[in-house]
Amino acid sequence: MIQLFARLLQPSVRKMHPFIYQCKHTFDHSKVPLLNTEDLEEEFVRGSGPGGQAVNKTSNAVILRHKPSGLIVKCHQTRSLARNRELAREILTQKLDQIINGENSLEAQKQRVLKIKSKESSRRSEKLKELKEKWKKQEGIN
Amino acid sequence: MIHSYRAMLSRIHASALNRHTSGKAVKHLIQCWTKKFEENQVPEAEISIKHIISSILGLQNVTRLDTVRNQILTDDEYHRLLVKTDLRLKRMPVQYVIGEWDFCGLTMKMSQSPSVFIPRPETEDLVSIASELVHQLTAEEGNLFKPYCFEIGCGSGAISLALLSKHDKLRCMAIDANPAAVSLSRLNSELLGLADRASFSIAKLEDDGAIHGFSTPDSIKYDILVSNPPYIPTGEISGLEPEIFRYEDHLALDGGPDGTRLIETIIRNSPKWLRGGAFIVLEIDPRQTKIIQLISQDCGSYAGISVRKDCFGVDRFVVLRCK
Repeated sequence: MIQLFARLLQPSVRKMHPFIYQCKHTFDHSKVPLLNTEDLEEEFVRGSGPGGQAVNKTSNAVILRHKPSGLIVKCHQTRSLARNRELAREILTQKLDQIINGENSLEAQKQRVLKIKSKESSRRSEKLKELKEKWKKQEGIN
Repeated sequence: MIHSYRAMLSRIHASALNRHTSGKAVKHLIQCWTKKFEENQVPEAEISIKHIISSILGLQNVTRLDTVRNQILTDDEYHRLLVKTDLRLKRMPVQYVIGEWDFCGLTMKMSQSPSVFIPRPETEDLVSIASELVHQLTAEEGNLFKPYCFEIGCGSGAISLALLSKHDKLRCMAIDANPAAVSLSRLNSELLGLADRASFSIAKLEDDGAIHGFSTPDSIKYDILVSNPPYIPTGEISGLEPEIFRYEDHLALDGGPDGTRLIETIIRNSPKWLRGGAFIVLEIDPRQTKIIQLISQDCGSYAGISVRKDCFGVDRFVVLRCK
């Protein structure tokens, strides 16, 4: 059980199990742009020589260029080069989505849902407050 | 007498006030230690101090440092910083100084004493190649397939654990001649919640292909073998940077005269551990591709061999398929 919990905390595993984030709102992913590898150019910091076991560098920043749009994403959020490459692609996709799809982009959809949820949550807490006051009055508690 | 007593009291009073704060801000420390590392020819000066401070403050990553640049370290944090910067001045790799590193998006503990090999970024590409092959085998065998992977030289457990995190039905058996590597791999597998599908054993692969300290029943044939075996030619070990030469396990680096000793042993002996159609993925030195192709042809046990590049564009992996 603890093992499963520990696994679920790892971001790469959470992606495999979307049921963790259950939500009655569904998002439209159909317009999200897909990246073509031919359109992408990656740049990393790398030492000279044969590399591999013979080198131990900690710089794992990625610069991802999208040739058709000229967009550039720099990512060194994690200590894993492979993960930074994945994140750079995700960030690039998000940026392209916002440019191409505007208010239909995934991010805009999520913001709208968050707004609805926070409105709903504050309405509920107001209502609860109201009911509590009413009950206190009723019971004659001051 | 009274003069010195008063002086002593005021010192105690002053230190009581400063007991919890070092008075040192993050951005000042980054500037000052970057300079100090550079003056002492410590490579990657700025990123080194940033990783150390992030680790002490418990931050997820170096980019978060921008949001805390005015934060003042506590006395305790500052003393821990001094211990770590001292180690880095002595060229200890950052991964050992902070005791952990990330691989394929997973955080894994690192061990300096006894030293266990630090995973390299190129090896993340080995994981993605092996992962593709596991998908391919599953497509060939059907959805009830439970692939079994064998790793030789697990080190910190990086390759096996990364593969396990990507494939729910995969099981891994991994060996290493270094007992500290096996302990560390087990620890990492527990921390990552993958211990139920991973087995680690202390075992040494001999030149004749025997594996001492370990035996699988004849009925078990693995579906895929992965390895990042030592592949540096012996003569090149002494030319490695101090981070590697002084602190990392030479047994994890030294591949014999031309670096292919263990690679050759693995290629010549794998067929007895693997089933027909199984894959082997090995990390190599780019200068070894020709000789490895010759060895695999000489064996006669392989249906095909291909050379794959790493993300830096260098020939880094060979993939073989058993007949």
